[in-house]
Amino acid sequence: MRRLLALHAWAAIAFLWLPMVAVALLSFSESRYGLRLEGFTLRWYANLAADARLAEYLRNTLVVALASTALATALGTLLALALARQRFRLRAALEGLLYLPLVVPDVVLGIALLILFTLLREWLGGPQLSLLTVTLGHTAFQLSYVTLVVRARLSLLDPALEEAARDLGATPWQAFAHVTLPLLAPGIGAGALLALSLSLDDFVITFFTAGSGSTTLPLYLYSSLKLGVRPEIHALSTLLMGSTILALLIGYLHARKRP
Amino acid sequence: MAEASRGASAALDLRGICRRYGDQVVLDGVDLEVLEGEFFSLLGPSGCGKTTLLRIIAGLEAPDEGRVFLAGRDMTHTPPHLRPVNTVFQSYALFPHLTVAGNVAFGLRMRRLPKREIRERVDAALDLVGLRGLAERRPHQLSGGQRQRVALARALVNEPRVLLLDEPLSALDLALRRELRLELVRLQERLGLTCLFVTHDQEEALVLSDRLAVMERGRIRQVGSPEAVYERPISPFVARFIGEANLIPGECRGDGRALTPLGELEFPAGAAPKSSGPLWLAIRPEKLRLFRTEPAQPNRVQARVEGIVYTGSENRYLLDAAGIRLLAETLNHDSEEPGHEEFAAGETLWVVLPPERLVVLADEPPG
Amino acid sequence: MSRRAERTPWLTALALPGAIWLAALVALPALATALISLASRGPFGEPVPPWGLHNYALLLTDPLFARVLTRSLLLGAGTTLLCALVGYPLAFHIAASRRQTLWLLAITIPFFVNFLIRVYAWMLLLQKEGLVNAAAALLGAGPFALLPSALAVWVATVYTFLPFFVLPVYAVVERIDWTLRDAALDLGAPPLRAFTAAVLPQTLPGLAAGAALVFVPAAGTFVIADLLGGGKITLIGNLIQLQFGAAQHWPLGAAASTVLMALALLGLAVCLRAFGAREGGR
Repeated sequence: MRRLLALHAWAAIAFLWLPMVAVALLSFSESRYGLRLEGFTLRWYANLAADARLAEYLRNTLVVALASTALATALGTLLALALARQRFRLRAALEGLLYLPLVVPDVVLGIALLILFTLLREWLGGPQLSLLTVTLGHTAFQLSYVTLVVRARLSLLDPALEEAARDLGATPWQAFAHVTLPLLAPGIGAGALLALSLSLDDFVITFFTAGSGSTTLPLYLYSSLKLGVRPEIHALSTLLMGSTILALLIGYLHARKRP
Repeated sequence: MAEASRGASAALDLRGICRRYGDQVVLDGVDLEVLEGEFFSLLGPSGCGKTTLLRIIAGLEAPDEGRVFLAGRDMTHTPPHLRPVNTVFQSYALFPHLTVAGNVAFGLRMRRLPKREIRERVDAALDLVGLRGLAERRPHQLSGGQRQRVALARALVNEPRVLLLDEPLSALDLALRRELRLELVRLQERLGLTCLFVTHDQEEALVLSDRLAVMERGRIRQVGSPEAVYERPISPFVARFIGEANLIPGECRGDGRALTPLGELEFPAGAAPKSSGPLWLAIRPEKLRLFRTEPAQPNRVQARVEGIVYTGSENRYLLDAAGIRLLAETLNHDSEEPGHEEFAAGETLWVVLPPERLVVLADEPPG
Repeated sequence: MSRRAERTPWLTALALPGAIWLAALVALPALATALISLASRGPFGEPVPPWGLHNYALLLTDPLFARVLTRSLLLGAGTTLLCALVGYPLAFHIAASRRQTLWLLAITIPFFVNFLIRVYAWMLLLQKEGLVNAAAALLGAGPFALLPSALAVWVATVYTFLPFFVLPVYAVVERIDWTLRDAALDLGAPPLRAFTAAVLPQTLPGLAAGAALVFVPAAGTFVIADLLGGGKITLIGNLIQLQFGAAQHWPLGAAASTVLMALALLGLAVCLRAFGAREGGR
């Protein structure tokens, strides 16, 4: 039984990893469409480096990711604090709204944002579709993730700690700054990292909220994919995968260092 | 308590404290006075409201009614950080992100005392509890007893007018508990601390306290010195909760006599509140006397030995007397002297309930 | 003596910015979608009067829409089931493993790798000259026309959503109280019975969370079908996207989207009712 379970687990991991490994290996293949393993070359990476547009797409992607993550982390942390400690009217409605972006297909949220931004522009002179609308769109789903992660961390905090701080002479603000916040920091960090990676990864919301001049890497990737398989895309994918894995490994090692 | 004793010498004075959660009454009009330099215990079963009372004194919860006076000042609505009390929490609530020294310094830092003074006072507090060498450790690197000492030092360093202790020893094993108990008493005497100690452990309360209060269902049932409460409990609940007690129901028959299932029993004249009606007679197990042959003493009844427990220095006998179960405790003298014999299970013997040892309790509804 | 959350106005005020944000960027867009779904199509696909339920009537009576919706829900349900079959035992293996963090990393990395790249990987593998057919040729089979196909869509959908299912299930499996199973075995239950009586019920919240994260989102993807299914309208996600793209019929797209949103909310309500009450305390 144990054996069977282990065998199953290894098979599942192989299923998850082999396609990604294949992309990485094929990105070094000399084969013209990059479908077979033939020889070794860095030509496709060189071609990528020569493409000036990629730098702009990368910049767009990072601007959106950093701005939306900062916003979502600040708002989400405050929201988590209020939700974890307070009972108030409309709380249930707020919870429902929090879960909505998690369970609704991306396309639904994407077109809903598109409709909102379009109506705002037509009726109230709101902004054109741009990096601003993409950033706002990203916060719409990031906020849920940050709030839920921070709240989960908060629920693990012993409320007696804050009470002990108050008992020892801390004002409510001092108790928050000297006890709650330092203990919550890992949760806030985890929430921010999740939000950042979700933003870097996002295609669907960006697809519906981006205008001309706000192309991000995932948007570029999608338009390339529509055109079919190309070894330069293997190379780009491999670079993006590599950075994801690197970021997660650093996070893992960092987490292990702390008790 | 005489009104005269209130005032200057009361470190803590509670008047008519009520607290309800919804329609559940947790505290039902609690009056309590703790004197300066006194070690006072609040004793009661879990759920009796003692922890809530402590939280109200610390300011972590507000009473629905009543007033809290600390060192003579009405602090009912003062937030916790402005009250001259500090708490040792049941779970210790040590800050996991701070070192031992950081934990102890916390209160002083919140008051923005000069760095040097903080260092000196933290060192002194750690010396006091014998943890000087562990100042740079984190709470998770400490044993249970060490954590308890850190929690104590963290509260003491602020020189509270009243030190509140919420079952601080309950998470420790018996040997450590006894050791820390003695340490606590020594510290309290040396520093002249005023302590309010919450516990459900009657032995702890008896050993530690100058005075104690027994709580039940949100009310204080009896206040007094350990001896007074032990020897003269005022209700079957208190008698049962503090130590062990044999409780015998009866019907008062004039002065000093009651009709019970064990027959007519005498008790000290003037002990009963009324000359007729139902009452309880209570007697501690060690006050019963056992004889093999019928003694010429009042209040003797015949009983059968149902079971025996040897605890080393004592023999504990479970007896059945006319359907009433009695617990008797005799010192293990190893002799055949009348009143000190040893008995075997199944034996029939004579029990004497010395009248002067019987405590008369008013009838109370079963609870 | 339970500690009850008390009302402190300044703490409640902390919720205000986030609540306004959610109202503006989640609730308002959802309402706008519902509003547009009641409009008619203008010359450029924009919403114009008259208002009414005609888009829903069109969706309900159109056999094409019924087929698309059925196919999408089937994909959602099938993906959930397959993810459960693969993911449930996997979660147990991870929870029991000594190298838990490494296993978790092996699940979370694919979870975080860009979704498009993971779909692209299958595009690559399933090409006529791709590695899958190369492997089949070694066994003397094929070549198969794997792309575009419904099979490709299914494989890539399961592939994409598997980590979403494993992680919440793992979270509950890790906290299982195994003494309950031991008690069941001790009381004479056969192993399978002990599992279904003492272990399975403890994992239900995780299964529900996994299903909530997989079912409707999988039914609603349009990218996978777009890239691996050959560009026809195959799923409801594609249908919606098409109305906002080439077909230029926003009101109809909004109506289809509203239907999908209603389904998701229904699922959410069922999950919250079944498992949320416990978490909410009191």
